[in-house]
Amino acid sequence: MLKFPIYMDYQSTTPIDPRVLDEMLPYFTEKFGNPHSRSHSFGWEAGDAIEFARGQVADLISANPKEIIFTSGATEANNLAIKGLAHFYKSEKKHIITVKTEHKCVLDACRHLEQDGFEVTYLPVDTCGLLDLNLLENSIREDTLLVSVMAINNEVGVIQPIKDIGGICRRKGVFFHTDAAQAFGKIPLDVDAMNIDMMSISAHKIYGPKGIGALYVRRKPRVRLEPLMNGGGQERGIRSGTVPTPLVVGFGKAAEIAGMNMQEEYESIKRLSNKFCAGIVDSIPDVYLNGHKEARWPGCLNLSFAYIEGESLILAIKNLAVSSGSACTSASLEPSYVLRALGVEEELAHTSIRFGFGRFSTEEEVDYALELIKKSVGKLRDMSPLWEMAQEGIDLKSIQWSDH
Amino acid sequence: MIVYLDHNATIPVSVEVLEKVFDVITKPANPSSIHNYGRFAKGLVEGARKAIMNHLHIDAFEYDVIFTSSGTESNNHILKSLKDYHLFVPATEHASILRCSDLFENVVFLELDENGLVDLEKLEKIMMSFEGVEKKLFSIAYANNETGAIQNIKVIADIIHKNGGILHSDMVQAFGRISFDLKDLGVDLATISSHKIGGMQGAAAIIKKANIKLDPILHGGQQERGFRAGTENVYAIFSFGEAVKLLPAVINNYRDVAKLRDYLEESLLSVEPEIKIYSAGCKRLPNTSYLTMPGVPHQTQVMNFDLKGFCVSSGSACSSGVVKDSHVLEAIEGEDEDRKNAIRVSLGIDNTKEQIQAFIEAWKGMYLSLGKVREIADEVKLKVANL
Repeated sequence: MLKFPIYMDYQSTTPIDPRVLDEMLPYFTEKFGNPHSRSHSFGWEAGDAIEFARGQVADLISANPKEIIFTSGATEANNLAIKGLAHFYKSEKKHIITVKTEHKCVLDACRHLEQDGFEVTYLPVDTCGLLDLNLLENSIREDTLLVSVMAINNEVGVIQPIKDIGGICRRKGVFFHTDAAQAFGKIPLDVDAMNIDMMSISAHKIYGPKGIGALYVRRKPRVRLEPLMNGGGQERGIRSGTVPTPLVVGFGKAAEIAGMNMQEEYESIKRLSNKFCAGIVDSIPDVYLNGHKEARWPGCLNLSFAYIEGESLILAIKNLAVSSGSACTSASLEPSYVLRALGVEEELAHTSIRFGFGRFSTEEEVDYALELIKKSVGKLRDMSPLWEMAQEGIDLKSIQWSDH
Repeated sequence: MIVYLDHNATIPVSVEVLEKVFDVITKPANPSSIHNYGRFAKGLVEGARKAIMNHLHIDAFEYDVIFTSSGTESNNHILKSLKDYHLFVPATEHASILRCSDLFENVVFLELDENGLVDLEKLEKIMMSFEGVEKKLFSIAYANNETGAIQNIKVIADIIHKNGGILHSDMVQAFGRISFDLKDLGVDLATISSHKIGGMQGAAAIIKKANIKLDPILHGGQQERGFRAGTENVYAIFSFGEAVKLLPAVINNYRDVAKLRDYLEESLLSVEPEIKIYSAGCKRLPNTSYLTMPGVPHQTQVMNFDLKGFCVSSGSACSSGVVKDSHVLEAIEGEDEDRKNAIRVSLGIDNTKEQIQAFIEAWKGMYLSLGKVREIADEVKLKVANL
């Protein structure tokens, strides 16, 4: 039995896994203590649960539990990594390198630092969305403090060569931060093998609860940060504020489950995603897959349907919960800056839709989605004068649109 | 039987709230998504915002409610945005306020009376001597988290406003325990938190007058109208709103809690009249009692109470793992020895008279065995010294 709307927006957030919820339950009521209460069993019990979860999260990236700092989510982790590092080392180095396709919060944190006197280089990507490693290496200067490159892009699913980037950064003696909100729990990550100094992760992207994430912060060689939040000195003084026990417990369990089933889940998502993609491309002309064909997370398919407004297609396929880009910016009608960075023309960028596949996606859902999209695209194109002109062989770019 | 008497640290999520949360928590809901689930999530967040505004009798024209992840984040957000102000604080504030005050170029610590209340006459004088300073920010908790002392916020706000300052009040402990009208109190900015009132941990809020500008500490998406980036903690925020809706009844129940607290204090005073109860001379939260057991250090007390099944604390739940002497009591009492023997007992609406009676018995037993022994030992030491 299909349940509508069919959820195909796994990059935006994921439903909580029932096993995760089960684990969290006792910590709302019976084991409700403040983990920082050091004077009674309720506090100790909550404190122990947090340390156990810290180990579960650390295990998945081969880190030491002491290197995991819990935050309210990946946005906070990215802010803490970039601004915290910059503020700590501001008297020594003032240059930061990042990439044009990063998550908005990374770019925004960098822009904020520019106002504080930092210089930021925003590297371009090729038409597949990949970073040029030679360009990266040549962009590193004497005063470069940090390179921040995300592992998996949230809009197009492209996977950057994190291990190579880590190698370059280590060789050049600059810190390497990766926003792994979309990668943690989905592809193997190893902070030592990949020479990662800081990594941002989020629970609600891996079937854990919202409102909890973490920043991995390397201890050897030590990375030092200025906190964003001062106070009681929780999380080794790097992040003050009561650590929310039930959310952390859920985060730990979600990480454990993701680690257990990673390969299996990858295969099943890839199979569904391939079937969906082939089904669309084979039966609908003028559809383009954005981003690299191979170096990608298969659970994220960003497709451009030429001659159709993305927004009108979304309305036409209301039974599918999809997005026309990142959720954080989807309220605006601007075409995605990520697609623009890949060189996707504005017209085509407006026609793009992101389809997400995840743990709970089924073959039945994919089949239904395929049929619905085929039907809707056909209908919308039948109504589109642009499509008609294109069929008649008119090059749309040659048309001089008159101003109103 | 374990008796929980540390409600100022945190309280369990209320069962009614939890039931509502479980009805919806399995939905993949990101309020920024444009589809059905996204709109649903947005509805939950906006519903909670409305519940808070209704409870505090404020409207969206005059005030903003911004959701954050904790009281600590709210306090940091407010203070760090206003770092170019002269800051005026009592030394009894929560660590999140005091650690932020370290970042200000100009900080003045407000003088307190013997109950830990801001001395109003001296406040007037301070206002006069800082008349020439244009930007003055006061950060004064409505109720202290350790002693429960309730400040005369309305009078304080009047004095501050008369002289061109603005007032932030950390209301994390007061919100949900006593009833008040935010507009009537006249504060310009306030901090409230979900897990102290029976909502989930991980949600809190900043309430501010709409004309006050704050800079975000988290940059990124346009959530919370650009004030606070990051996917909203939808279900914790929803639980916060649902807990707020229950507050009128809860606050009513705190009247009984006050009776229970008074019964506790009277019973202990009848055992040992030398007990010191901090801030007993002023209005306090109905559930809080910060009191000494003469001759018995707080570390010894909390350990022994824990062994007997009573959860109390020796101040605020801190992080370092080291049990330190209270900075609040130091600010009120100075280097007074009694404060080393003080513990905080904070009651909740579920505590029963039987539980309090059992605590009184345990207290008596501990005092008679430990306190008296200490007294005798001190006398012997004195005698030896005089020989």
